[in-house]
Amino acid sequence: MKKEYKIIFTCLFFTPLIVSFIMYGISEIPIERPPSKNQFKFMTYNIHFGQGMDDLVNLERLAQNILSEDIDPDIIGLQEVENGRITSQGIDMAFWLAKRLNMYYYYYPAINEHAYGLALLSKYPIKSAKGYQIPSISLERVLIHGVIEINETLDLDVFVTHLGLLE
Amino acid sequence: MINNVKSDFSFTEIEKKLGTRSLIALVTISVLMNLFFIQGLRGYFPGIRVALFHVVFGQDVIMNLLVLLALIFLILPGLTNTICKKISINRVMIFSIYIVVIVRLLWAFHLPLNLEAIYSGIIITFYGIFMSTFLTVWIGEVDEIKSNNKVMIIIFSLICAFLIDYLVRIIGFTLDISLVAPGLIVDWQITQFFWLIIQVPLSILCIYLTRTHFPRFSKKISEVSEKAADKKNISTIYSIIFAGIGIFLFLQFNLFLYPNAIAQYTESDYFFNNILNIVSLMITICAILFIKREVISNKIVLGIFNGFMIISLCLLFTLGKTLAYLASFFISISLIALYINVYSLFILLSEIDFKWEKVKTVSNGITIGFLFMTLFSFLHAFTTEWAAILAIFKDLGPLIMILAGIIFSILTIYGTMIKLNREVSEI
Repeated sequence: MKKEYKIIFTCLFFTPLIVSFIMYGISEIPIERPPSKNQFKFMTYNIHFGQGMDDLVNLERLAQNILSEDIDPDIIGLQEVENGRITSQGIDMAFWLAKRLNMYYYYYPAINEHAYGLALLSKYPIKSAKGYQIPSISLERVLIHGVIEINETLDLDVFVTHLGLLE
Repeated sequence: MINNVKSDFSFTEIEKKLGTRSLIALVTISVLMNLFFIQGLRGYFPGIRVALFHVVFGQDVIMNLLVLLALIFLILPGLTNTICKKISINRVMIFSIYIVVIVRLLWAFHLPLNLEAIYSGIIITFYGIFMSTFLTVWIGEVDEIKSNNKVMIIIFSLICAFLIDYLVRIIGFTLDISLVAPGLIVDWQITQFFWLIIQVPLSILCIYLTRTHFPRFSKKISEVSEKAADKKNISTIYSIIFAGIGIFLFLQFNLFLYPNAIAQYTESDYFFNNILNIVSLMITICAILFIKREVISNKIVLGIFNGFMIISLCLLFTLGKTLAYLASFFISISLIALYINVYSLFILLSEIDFKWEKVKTVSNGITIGFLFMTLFSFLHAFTTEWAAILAIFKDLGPLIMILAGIIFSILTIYGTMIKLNREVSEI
């Protein structure tokens, strides 16, 4: 085989690994901390596994929805968030949305480690977060308790959950 | 010692027999077809899931039952033999490449009609038809290339496609950028066309290479007397091989292919897992290319690898969070076992004296593989996200994974043993 082909093949072979390291570097870029303020916008959003009314998995659309000028929330609680499932293209939705929106995040799954989860997204650093199972008569229900560091003197306790409709 | 282990496979030798351009064309088309198939499968299951969701919750039931008919796409490759009776096998192969490439291109345009499940279903069907005909034609072709080396090209292409898939997903931070759907805000409706810029040249390249290099397969295909072949044994081996491949696809698309899922189970870092997985794939490619197949698909080596894979799965689901990075490491190493199993199954295809002129057996095998994958995917869905519907299935998701791993291991080792027994009896 010609030397040029061998070089091209070797470069292509190592590309995924090199790009992985580059993306790792990019993901480590610190998130810009917004100025401290007294009023905050909260948002709760059931993202229905990333599928919209047209049944398409479309996280970009969700991100654009959240980013629209009227809303621009500081802290977001997400419901029905999935990670690594064949039925939602294997995406880590909380991680992806956090990267896309340049926010900190914490994810807690409800069923078997990666389905029907909750996510807490915040423009401010999440000082600590923990997930809890809560009593339920049908589907597993969970709750996230996150402590968000607004500034050195102010921490906010935020709770995210997803309750059912059964009477 | 090194010579005893070193593989006799060489791209240069195949290149001498095929020609440089033909070899590049063959590998490129094979890699791209596998890549489109991976993307097709990824797009297919969300469509099926949401249709089921609507049927259960009574929204547009009839319409969604029609979408569920898309499940039929998994069975259609079984018709390859019937098609081949009407049209020559080479034409069917070339036609199936065109269909996959064109449908993938149409999908990348994100036309207003919501046809994702249909596009991906067509891609899966015609990939099945392509594989049935391509395997038959390529391995059965009368030339000086050993059939084992031909299989190595096929498995090499498959792993390369998975490697590219990792690249596509790491760029999108776990999102497959080739499947980005239209955005909401008009000014930003550009992200959806990112993959189109790549897809157009890929499709043109694929069509060009197929037109110029694939008619070479119209050469003679080896004929083996039907009487000489042991029909019963062949169908058993085929069922083993393709059921194994079906379970491989299930395990891949539900766990192993997603470093983020592994990271979730182990509370480890996504990037760490991603890098480990890619390194595992690269090691597998090197192992397949540079180590003798007798060493890799040896019964004892396979036993060790598969034992390690099952232990890793058990570790992941029981002590995953306690032994976070160790469990991640074990699962990534298990990826090598997973690919070595597939490699061994494909080697089985080429080694046993069966009839390569029979498209029917391969296409039926591929259909069996798809059905096994779907069966396990549904089982997994009912033990995880739909566990509330049937309480008896609750928390059995990890068990399904481990069970799939065990069945996959048994199929591979049993298949190898059948082969060994045949070899012994021939001696």
